[in-house]
Amino acid sequence: MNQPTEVSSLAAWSDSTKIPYEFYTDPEIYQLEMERIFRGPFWHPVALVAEIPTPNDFKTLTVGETPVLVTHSEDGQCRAFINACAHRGVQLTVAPRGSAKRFTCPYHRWVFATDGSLLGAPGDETFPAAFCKSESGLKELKTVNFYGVIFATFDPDNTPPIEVYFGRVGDALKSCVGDGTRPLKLLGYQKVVFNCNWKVYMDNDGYHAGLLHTAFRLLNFQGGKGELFADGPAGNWGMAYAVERYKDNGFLSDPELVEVKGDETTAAGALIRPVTQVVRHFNSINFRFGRPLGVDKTEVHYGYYGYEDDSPEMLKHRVRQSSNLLGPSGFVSIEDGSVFDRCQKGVTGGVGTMNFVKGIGTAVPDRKTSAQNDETVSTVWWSEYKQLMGY
Amino acid sequence: MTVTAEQISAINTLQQQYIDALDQRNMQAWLALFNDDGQYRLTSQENIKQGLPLSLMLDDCHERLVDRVKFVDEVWGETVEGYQSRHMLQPVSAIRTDNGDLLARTNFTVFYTNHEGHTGLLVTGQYEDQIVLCGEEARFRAKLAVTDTAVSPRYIIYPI
Ligand code: FES
Ligand SMILES: [Fe+2]
Repeated sequence: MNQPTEVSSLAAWSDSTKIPYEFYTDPEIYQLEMERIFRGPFWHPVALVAEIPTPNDFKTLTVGETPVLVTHSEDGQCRAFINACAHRGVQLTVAPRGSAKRFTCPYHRWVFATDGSLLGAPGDETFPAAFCKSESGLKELKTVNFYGVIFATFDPDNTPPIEVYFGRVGDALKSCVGDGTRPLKLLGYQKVVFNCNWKVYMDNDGYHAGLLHTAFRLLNFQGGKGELFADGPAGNWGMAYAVERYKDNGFLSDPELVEVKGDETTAAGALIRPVTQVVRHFNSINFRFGRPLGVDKTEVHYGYYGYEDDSPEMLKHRVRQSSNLLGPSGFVSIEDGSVFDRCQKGVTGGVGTMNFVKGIGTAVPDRKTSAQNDETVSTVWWSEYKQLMGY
Repeated sequence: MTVTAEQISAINTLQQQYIDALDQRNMQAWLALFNDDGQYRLTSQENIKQGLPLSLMLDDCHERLVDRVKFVDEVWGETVEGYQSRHMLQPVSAIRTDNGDLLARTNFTVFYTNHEGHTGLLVTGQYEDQIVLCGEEARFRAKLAVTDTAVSPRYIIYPI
């Protein structure tokens, strides 16, 4: 029956600084990840309240390979469901976002409320006596609202309470999206496929920032003075650093684009396993929902936010900065996509290991904190990964 | 106001120069096709339909256009995986506004070919262009590229 899958490479491996290539390329490992990680004890961000701010708003997304519907009910609660009709599994809605008082399945017209309950089913007088309407609602995932972000889990019995789950990384998330009391305002999306394994995308480290990203150097952003910190059972990590204001060196014709306006003095980021990244840099607030598309592709939806109480000038500034700087085609960040794709090509079909070295030689014993430009904290996840996968 | 055959011809010439500049990756030539107050914006139909202002590229003044040229020509170089683009266009409609500018809608399909010679569809969508005429010559006052494609199969480097 539930035969534990034997993956010999996983059983033999133990060094969290040397990751065998096949972990990024093996379809069998990928399938095991879907079960143990994506449907396992993880809190997945499924929506920001700002994406569905008013009652009856909804959004859809795919978590791992499972379609999910997130609703905002009349009672003010945001809920997450498997986006599949309780009758025969038809996707209830295909819209990425929208507003609906109820969801009617097109196939046999069963009707569901935004709280998932079944309101009606045509011809139910001939359903078996045992059919119970109140038990035939949409399959709901356990959710929690953490700083205005709705998190859902497929494995509520084994996923720790969210504060424990995030530990210190919760502070980084809070620093990125606010504490949930100052409402965010959705500005829009950028969506892209990176041609790499989802873990190549998530191995993105602090070491590369000043080296890969030419714009960081040309614009005299030094970086490196901040701190990275991993915490909690999922191996999430966060970063916090003081923001450096751009001193116009004549490089840009329009230096206003990289200005930090208002009283912003810090920048922050959070890597949320399995496949989400959150960045607040300059005046750009960016929440990146990821989704694996097989072993060698990762789709990422970059959502950008301002605050509801932003002045029109600030909003305009956020829109032009967010549109141009830190997305998949952004002036500063575009090279990330290039190395993701090239990394996947480089490790496919070969035998070898991905090596984490920067900062490891001088790391604290638990490797949970490091300098901003180190690879150290990435290895915390890899230690957890082995256990999560059941080895 | 009706659009004359000469004006249609000026629009077509401008669009041809535009895609030729991009497919030859001649960014200076691309820049020269914008009016002094010219703007460029690339976004998805998904954002537009939801009334969301965010874009994938948003050059709302001449200085921003100049900076985009600089990044493509001088900054990213071989760090990004460049590709050969190929734009296919189909004019759809053109009207004349009260101030004399032309509004033209043109369908586009853009293919990319990577270093290995593999070709794929990058994006498809429609231009909604505001075009200013200076004598025989046409220039973009505002070029808006709206992609039907919400999720591109790779990251986009060059303007569409
Ligand atoms: S599958 Fe939805 S009503 Fe039958
Ligand atoms: Fe990066």
